[in-house]
Amino acid sequence: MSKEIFTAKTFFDNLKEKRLMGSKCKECNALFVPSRPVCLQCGSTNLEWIESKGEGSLETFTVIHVPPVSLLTKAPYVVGIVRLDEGVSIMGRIIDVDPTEPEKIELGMRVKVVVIEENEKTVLAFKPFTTRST
Amino acid sequence: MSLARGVSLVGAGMTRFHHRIHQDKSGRELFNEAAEKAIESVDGGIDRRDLQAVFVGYFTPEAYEHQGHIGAQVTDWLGLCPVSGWRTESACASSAYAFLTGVLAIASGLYDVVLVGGVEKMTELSTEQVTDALSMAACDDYELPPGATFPGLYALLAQAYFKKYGATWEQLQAVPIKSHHNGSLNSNAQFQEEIIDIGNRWGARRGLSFKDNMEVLKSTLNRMVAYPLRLFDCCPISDGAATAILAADDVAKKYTDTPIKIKGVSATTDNLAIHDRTSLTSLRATVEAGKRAFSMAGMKPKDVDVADVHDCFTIAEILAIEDLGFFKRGEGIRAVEEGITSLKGDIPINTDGGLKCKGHPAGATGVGMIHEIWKQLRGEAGKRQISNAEIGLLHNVGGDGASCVVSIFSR
Ligand SMILES: [Zn+2]
Repeated sequence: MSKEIFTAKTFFDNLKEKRLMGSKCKECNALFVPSRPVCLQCGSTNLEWIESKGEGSLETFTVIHVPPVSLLTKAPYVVGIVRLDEGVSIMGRIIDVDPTEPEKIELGMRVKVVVIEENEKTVLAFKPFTTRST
Repeated sequence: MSLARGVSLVGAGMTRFHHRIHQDKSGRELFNEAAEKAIESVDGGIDRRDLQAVFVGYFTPEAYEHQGHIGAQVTDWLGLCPVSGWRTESACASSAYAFLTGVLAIASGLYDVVLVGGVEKMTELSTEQVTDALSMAACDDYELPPGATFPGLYALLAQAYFKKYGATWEQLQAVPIKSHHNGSLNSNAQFQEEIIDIGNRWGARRGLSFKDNMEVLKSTLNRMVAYPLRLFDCCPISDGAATAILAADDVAKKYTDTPIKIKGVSATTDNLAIHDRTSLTSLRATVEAGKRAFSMAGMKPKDVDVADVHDCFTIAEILAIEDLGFFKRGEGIRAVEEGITSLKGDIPINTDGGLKCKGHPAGATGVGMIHEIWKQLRGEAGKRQISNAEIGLLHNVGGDGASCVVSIFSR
């Protein structure tokens, strides 16, 4: 049985196709998004690809006013860490929120994955969504 | 666990850290300037040919000076060839790693006396280009594409801290207010003015005047960098170099009657990307390095008389003083507000003005902090001297906490 190879390229190739991929430890079930090759919990290298549903809640955010050179025209923009429903966190751009009114951006709000193409790069982003209760 | 052979500081010297005054000098020229001061600082004198190796931290010379091969570059310019020259890189903790590597080299028995230090020549580039260079400390695969910057990463930690402990940005301002006071007493500091004085100086050009520090900090002069962190929450871009001379305990007395002993050292790492870490309100690398260094020294946080901790951003100082065990979780901000970390407090923190005011030439910072501990423990810190300081602590962080060095020194 050959082992999976978890590269950033494979992660971004999948993201381009709107799949947020991670790796799951076959020994202890620990989950990692993005994928990584060694389990941080038990040290195993026996992991498999899994796809995240891509929904979660906003754990923390910032509004970038002094950006890197490549994003000079985009600032101010919002970057956050999202706690995925599967229980792991990941960083992404937060879109469809107003960077000029950060006090209105709520920690804990529900967000889901969107993929943006920028400067010839595939960028992981999240946008707010509401789940309608019936 | 202890060092197989004891190591002491017998000299230290630094350039002033600054954004303008060193513009016409290169990195190695700054390093030489600091090294000459360290050589002069040795009580009993030292022949430079006694230096058997040089360990130098420089974070991104490739970006600033289009220069690699830093070990040979500095031994050459110091006139020390053919001794070995070692460059260490661990982002903003690069020179603490140089220090630690020097300690290990002496403890191993390979050398008796070495020069350690660091340098960064940052003002060659624009602010945005420096932002790019500093961001190399973050995870290029997963943190940079969304647009995270260095201040942005700490802003994420600040927001998480505020949420968890109900703290506010206003409370956090006790940190730069203290730093600017301490910096005003340090002739090596980049900024030697209280915030109110800077505010009124800048404001005069725009017809603004201010009554107190907080009014300046809440004004438009204090522009947003990465919400909620503003300009005065951030350390500046600086040029500078700092060095120290280490000697084995058994030869240190040849150079001084009062060597500063290295009692505990530790270096640690954590996940590079902050989203992979176990906490957003604590740096595990600091917690672990602190525990190990205290254990080696056989000491506890309450034994420390003076500490230089890594305050690249205001929130970083709060995380550091909690993670090192000086204060309980969630109580760091109030401790700073109450003056417990001021020059007159129970545990003075960043008596030199911290990275915020002393400046932060990334590769030079760790040994720049050791320079302050050296001054304090020898009673040579002038107006900012802590009386009877016997135990000092260094805490230097790489990036936003993916690496850390803690070291404990005693008189
Ligand atoms: Zn596992």
